[in-house]
Amino acid sequence: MTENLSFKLHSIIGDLSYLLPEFILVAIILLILLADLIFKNQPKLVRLIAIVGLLFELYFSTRQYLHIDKSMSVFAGMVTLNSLTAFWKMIFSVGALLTILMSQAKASRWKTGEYHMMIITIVLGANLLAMSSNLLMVYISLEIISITSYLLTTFSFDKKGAEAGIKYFLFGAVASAIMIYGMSLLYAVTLTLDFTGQQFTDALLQANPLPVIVGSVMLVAGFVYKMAAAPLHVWSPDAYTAAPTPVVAFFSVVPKLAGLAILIKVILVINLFGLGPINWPTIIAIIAMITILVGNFSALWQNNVKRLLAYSSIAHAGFLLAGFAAFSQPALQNVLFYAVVYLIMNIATFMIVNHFENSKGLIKVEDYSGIAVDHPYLTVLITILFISLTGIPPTGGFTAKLLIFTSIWESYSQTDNQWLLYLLVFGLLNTVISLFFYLKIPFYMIFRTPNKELGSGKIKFGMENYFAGILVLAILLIFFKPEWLMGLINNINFAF
Amino acid sequence: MQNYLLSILIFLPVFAAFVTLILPKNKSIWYRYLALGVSTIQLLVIVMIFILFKPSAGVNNTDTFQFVEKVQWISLDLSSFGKISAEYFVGVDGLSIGMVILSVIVFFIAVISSWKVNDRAKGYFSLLLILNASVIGCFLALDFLLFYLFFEFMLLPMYFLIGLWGGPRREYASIKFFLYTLLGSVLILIVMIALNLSTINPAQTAVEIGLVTHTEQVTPEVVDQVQQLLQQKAIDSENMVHTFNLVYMTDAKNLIPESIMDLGLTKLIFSYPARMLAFLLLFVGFAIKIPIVPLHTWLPDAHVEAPTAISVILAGVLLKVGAYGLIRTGILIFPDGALNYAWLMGMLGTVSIIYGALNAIASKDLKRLIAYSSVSHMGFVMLGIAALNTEGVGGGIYQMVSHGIISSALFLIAGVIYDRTHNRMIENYSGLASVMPKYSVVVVIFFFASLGLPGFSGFIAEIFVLIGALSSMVLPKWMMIVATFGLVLSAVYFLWTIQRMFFGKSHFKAGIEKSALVDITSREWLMFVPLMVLTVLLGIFPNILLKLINESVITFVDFVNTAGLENLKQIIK
Repeated sequence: MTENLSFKLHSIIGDLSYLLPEFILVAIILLILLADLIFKNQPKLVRLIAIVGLLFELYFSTRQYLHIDKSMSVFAGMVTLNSLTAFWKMIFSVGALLTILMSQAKASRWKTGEYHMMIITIVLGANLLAMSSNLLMVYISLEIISITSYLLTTFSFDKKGAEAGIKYFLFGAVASAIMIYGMSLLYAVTLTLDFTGQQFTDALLQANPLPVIVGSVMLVAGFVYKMAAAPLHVWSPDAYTAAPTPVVAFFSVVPKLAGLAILIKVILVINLFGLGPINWPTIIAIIAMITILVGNFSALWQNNVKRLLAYSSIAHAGFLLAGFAAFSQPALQNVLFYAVVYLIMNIATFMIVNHFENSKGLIKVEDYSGIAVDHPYLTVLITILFISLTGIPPTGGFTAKLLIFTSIWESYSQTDNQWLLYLLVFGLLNTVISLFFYLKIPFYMIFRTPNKELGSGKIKFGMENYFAGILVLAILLIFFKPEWLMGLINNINFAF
Repeated sequence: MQNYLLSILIFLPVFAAFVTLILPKNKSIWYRYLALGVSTIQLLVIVMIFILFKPSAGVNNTDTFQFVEKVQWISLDLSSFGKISAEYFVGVDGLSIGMVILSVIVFFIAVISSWKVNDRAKGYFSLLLILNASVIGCFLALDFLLFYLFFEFMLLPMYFLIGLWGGPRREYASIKFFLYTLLGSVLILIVMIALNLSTINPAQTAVEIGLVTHTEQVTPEVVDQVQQLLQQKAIDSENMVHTFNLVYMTDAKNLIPESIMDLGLTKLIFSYPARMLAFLLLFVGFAIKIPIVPLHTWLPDAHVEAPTAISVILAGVLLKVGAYGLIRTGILIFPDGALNYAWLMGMLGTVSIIYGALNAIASKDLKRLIAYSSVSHMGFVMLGIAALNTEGVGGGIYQMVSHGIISSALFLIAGVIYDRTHNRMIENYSGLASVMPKYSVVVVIFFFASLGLPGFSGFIAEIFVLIGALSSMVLPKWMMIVATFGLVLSAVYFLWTIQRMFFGKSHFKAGIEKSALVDITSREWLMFVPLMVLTVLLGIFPNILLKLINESVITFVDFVNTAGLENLKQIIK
């Protein structure tokens, strides 16, 4: 027993180096807290620590992505590390970096230390979630993300923010409860929490289908909730409207993609190579369709820019799931491609929206009337971004959608699953619907006459606008040279 | 230089658009000179192409395209699914040369017509230049992805040009135009993806499976070998290079066995053979653009609200993109679908001829009347193409060029009167002939050209189409008879309009000042005279154009009929 324990301890200490990026994150969190305690009101210092720390973390994640060529199970099987999870981690840290870069204007008025600390905590949770291969680990890392998210939602410190935070918390707590109940059912059936192991799969294959169905649906519901995919999306429009814009930009990318990462990982296991009691490709296709439908049709009626973007990000969650519904390795590659493009275009959009909100107080779509007169370049940027979000060439959004639909067509032609065909047609037709609301903002900016109270007058061209410009260039570049991004994804070893 | 002529045509306007954006605001006069300069250079280039062009087939044979440029553009590795490859592949053959010449001329006219635009001139001219590039790119592209890029990209400048410089209901018209045509492109996108999944590039696949080391070493024998291996299912899916190449797509031997578009194993989607459904999707997608009744409702709105120059471009070249796309992608890739649904294309074409003409008779707005006459005349294009014989297809292409010239002039005519009075209602004018005699001469010439008077280009085109429809193996005879009736109807609305507006005692309603009605200025002559010369020239010497397109049309018809029948046999089996 003691020998066993010491062996375990040794192996755990030996594994420590594999979690270097996560340790860096923990170190930044502590450093920020200390810096905030010792040097009060030094937002610049805190930002510097956060940015430098995240760059370090990105560097080490990239090293893992480059050097790890097979799946490694570390920490007694709690987490697995491979180039896929390292790639997810890179996406998360880039998302966090961009968010911090755009929070410059607001952060000075807030509790800077807490704000940055919480952003980085969410990245930590997302990293662990993408790596976890044990249901308990999944639960813990999901809760790290959730609890911090509840707090961040209230960060505008007003009544609406508090209300949205409570709403989010209540929904989230129920979702967690359901998920952990699902986990317990699966544990009862399989007697193990390690869902990547052979024992888990074998037990599920032999088990009575009813508890397996109930357990896995409940488990997946938790991830769907985190992704804000229908039918568990109801929290997100309220939370997005009330939360500060940089936080919304962050929520719409990092926790969503972390939810997607673990959803893919878990479903590939409980799909049981298509032998299980549930036909997951069909279920995912249906969820994707509902999500796209709800996101697009609700966005049509929105007046509030952030709420509109919230629904748009729901629709994009649907497209991400649609790509996964094809269930093949090229499909996963295409989902990753879409995820990167989505990260870039969504954050860039929020950067510009945030800029207008901070400097001019523009909140409603009508407030954007006639902005083009004073800000032609920002108008061009935001128009390109919305074109990309719709999926019209020549933007990366088009290439990403093209690849997603390619994998759905391919999967349909091989499996003859009718739902995939419906998904294809439905998803493409929704592109047309989405054009209607994506064009709304450029439409007001360019076609309407300026609103004298809000719109008139030039504002300073902020630093974040240069970043937005670079991101827009990246979006265009991805269209013209998709193989550069796809080359990065091709390096990933998809063998699980 | 000669090797890059087509790229100059496409990229010169793009470059000029960026220059326009950079130019300072107080130099606004430069914008129009820049646009004019670009159009002039394009005219010179197109004259050069016209002289150097040797009549040769093209169509389904890569080697007989001319001025070809081919550069690898996208090459994506999707592991077990194989590779996706797209090329920057442009070239002209008889099917496209007429369209390219037409677009360059129409854009030249459009720039002159926009000379008086001072409102936000920077945006206007840069959008016009981008539109120019994407339309010409569309006619030159021989890669589906490249074609689709230009095809969709022209929506954006068009949306802004109508929405920002248009008439009172411009916002409604521009969003309607955008949504309609985007719906069409999405249908095309579905088929494009399916085709990409089902077709390989034999040359690049040969490199991938190691038959040769470089694509330049690929000989026809190697291509044959790859195609045989493919049909024997001897190529792993990892090594397949999926292509967007429109020429390779026409060859059924490049289809991957058991893929969606494969002939042997016919996949049923909603109980239709997949290839038939794909053809219908392409047909509907392009029919929105042409436009074919009942998918035409965006056109009158867009035309009525668009500024004159944009209407000229819309009628003159944008509608042709639809018809050209249907020929280049729909019919050539799915000859089986074209043969099977020729009756549908012919019928909708005939319906468009009659329905458009009837609507034109009922129109009270001069511009709306001309817009509906466009619907009617594009119906002839559709009918000619549906005939799938040399006379019909040749006539259809001839009609595209002829209609491009005549309808541009017609919209300029509507623009002339609108510039002066801001009123286009036919009922408000009478006896214009005595006030604006020169204008009336121009109107009479182009109205007669449009209704198909012998001696003008429209006559030649329509006669060819009608002969084609009559002698067609695939169309019933009544279509030709009904279509002929359309000619009578077009005489009705044009002659009636001349009678109402230009003859009789001069009398104007709705507060139109007689003093505002100045006769045609020299700038306007500059637009009308070349168009007049062209329509008469093409009406008297049809060989100018026919000699360019003949070879390709014969090859096209031959290919569609033989390959189509062969494919149909396999599908039905």
